[in-house]
Amino acid sequence: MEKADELKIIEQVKKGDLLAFRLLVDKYKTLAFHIGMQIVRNAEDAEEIAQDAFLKTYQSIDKFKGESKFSTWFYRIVFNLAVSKTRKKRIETSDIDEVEISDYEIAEAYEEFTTLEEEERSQQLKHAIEKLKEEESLIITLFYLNENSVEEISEITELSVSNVKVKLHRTRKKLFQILSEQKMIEK
Amino acid sequence: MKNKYAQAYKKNKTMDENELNNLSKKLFENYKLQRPPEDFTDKLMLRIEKAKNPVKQEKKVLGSKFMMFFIVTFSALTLFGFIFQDKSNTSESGFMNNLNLHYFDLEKLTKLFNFHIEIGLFAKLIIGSIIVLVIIDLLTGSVIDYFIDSKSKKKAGFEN
Repeated sequence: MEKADELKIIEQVKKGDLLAFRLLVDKYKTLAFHIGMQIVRNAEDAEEIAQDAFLKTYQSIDKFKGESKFSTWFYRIVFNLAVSKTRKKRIETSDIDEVEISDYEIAEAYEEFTTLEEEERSQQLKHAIEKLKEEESLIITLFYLNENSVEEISEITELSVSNVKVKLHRTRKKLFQILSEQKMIEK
Repeated sequence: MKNKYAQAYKKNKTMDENELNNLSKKLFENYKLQRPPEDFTDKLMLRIEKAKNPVKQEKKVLGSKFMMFFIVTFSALTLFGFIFQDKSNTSESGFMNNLNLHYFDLEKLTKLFNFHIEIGLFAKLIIGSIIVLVIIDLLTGSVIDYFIDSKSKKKAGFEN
């Protein structure tokens, strides 16, 4: 769906067209569910968050003025609902300590990873993502799976751009560290 | 050949941010996100439809329907009483006093239970209308439906 097409669809939704809204739901439901999953770590709650987010979006679509991307605006709603659901003031944030992994270990973990079958690779990565903290897993998946820019992630999570960059760097290393540890356990 | 790539980093090669980014990107290649349940969209559309037609409005419609049926029954009983009015009564009190509701004589009915009360004509008509409506509702099961419906609507309603 092109951006211009999406804006036309949003205009139709503003006029109350439910079929047009269905198109937006089909496009964004997987990532909305995913964001919920990263924060509440429970499929049932994640589904409820995604549903509530779409409902809220439908009811407040008039507030979307097109200044930012619709996806960023929408993911911000999902993120806020997910954080409220955890009943915490803030989600668990990543620690300040540097990750203890050398460049060699990163390269080795990567090389080991590439030797796995696709199915096993997905499983390993899934487990590794689950071991990250909520904020870390959200940032890294938004960046690599949804291809959101650092600026967009900053808008969604309300973290500063520099903070997102730092956390992204640390999370990359941490992910390789977890993959490396997982491999060691298997050995 | 194994570890050839990694070995390079053992020999003091450093990994810059771009390299780390590229390796991370490759990790996520072909990785599929967990999808929400199949009926996600249908369930959502149903919730939106319900949110568009709040429970309060439906209750209002049901309430106004009850009033309409009550007025119709009340009028029907009055008309019925007028048709069967006591023709022998020639006093000047007119229509209201001549209304014949002997087919619905609540006073006789109360005497059956060993007590006696004076019930006015309008009270008779109102009580009569309510009893008729309740009997119809019970026979058609709509009273039960009404309670079940209002309970389920409350549960399914959109929470703001």
